[in-house]
Amino acid sequence: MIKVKFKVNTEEREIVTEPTKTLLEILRDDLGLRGTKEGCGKGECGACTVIMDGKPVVSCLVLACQLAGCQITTIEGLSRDGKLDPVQEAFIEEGAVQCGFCTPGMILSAKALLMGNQNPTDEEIKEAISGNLCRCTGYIKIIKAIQKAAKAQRAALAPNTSGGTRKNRDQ
Amino acid sequence: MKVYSPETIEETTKILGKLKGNVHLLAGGTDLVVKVKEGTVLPENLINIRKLPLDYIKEEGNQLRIGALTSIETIHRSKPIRTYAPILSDAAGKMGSPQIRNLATIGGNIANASPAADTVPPLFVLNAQIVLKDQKGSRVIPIEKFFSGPGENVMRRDEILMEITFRKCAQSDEWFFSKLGQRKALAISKVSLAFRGKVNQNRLTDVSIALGAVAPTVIYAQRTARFLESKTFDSALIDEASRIIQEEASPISDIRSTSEYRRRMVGALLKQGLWELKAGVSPD
Repeated sequence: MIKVKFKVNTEEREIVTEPTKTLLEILRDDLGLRGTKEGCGKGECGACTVIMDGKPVVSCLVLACQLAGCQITTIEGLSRDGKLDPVQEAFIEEGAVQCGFCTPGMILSAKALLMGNQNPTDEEIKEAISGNLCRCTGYIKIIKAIQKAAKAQRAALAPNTSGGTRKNRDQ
Repeated sequence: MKVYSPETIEETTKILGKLKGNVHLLAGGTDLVVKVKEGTVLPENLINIRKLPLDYIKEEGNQLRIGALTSIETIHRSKPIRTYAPILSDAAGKMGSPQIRNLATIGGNIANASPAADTVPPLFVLNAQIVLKDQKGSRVIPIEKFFSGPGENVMRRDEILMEITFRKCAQSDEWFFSKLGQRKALAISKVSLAFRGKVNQNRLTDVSIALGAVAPTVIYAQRTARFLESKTFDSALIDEASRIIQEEASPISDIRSTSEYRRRMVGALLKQGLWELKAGVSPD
């Protein structure tokens, strides 16, 4: 057993666990954060995606012994004071959720993209969610929702110009 | 299973020197953790090297040095790599998914020794050197001497892979990396091909070609490379080269593909890449 200290959403956590337990198991079983889903358990489906130190990763392949000092964001950590994140809002508004199993991972991949790219192209969105499988909606509404969230985020960051400025980044 | 999490290289090589029984180094874990879960690898000792200071990309004169723990995503996005080894950045971007690329490391991709490892054909045509270290010192191995079979390499059990070094490419170098997989994301290569060379007055020179997933290890297609340098760069040369390269491949049939398909696709990938290269090169 090892003792490991890391941060999950806004809380510092210290747990005693087997060093080879996965982050996914720790989140769900030790911390009761069941928004993170297990699909394949082999890194192929993206259902267990969380944001680790600012980057999306599959939590089913991260082991407890690698967690010391890390900052993990799960789906539970996105809302603020009872208000959903713009990505979550957009998924609801666009009907980008059907069975919902891929949704937490999909939203965290989208969130990680939008943290570094306020104005993504459809191609960049497809790339960002290429590691997340959805077997219900067919991705179109998911991509629309992410574009909508990006627009909302731009508007929030530049309140004086409606919708923010859209620059052609290829120039 | 006993797990160690050393924080320095000295500590790591010391542990490696002492341990009896089988030892596995855990870096990004995208191959090893899956194998442990599937039960195909049962480590007695696991050394978590994630905290070691081997996450860097350094430019030194005409050399690039990449620390073994640099993630595939960092390599894909790195400006020096995009500028001086674009074929490696391109191949890195074609691997796995963002979530996998953020965890997976270049050292892991090499040490895992899969014949289908996507960073390896580019590293062959870059003439990369692999730096290994044990308690006593370091040794440097050219990448084409590093692999001894599928999943097997020449590392001794007390060694750690430290870094990968190679010369920067010239601006005049032409290159392409082609990967054939079941789909774009998260597909292990059925066939991959890395090409590097120069075009001078409608002749190809300095050609180097490496093939992935069509032999027990990544291989150079040397006969094809020499043939491409021998005559005018025209459609007859391309046709003949894509025939010769199929003779150089020795693919197997497995769950991802048949040997016959792989062999034909080696020829097709070369033909496609050379035609695109020819179309993109302005006539002298």
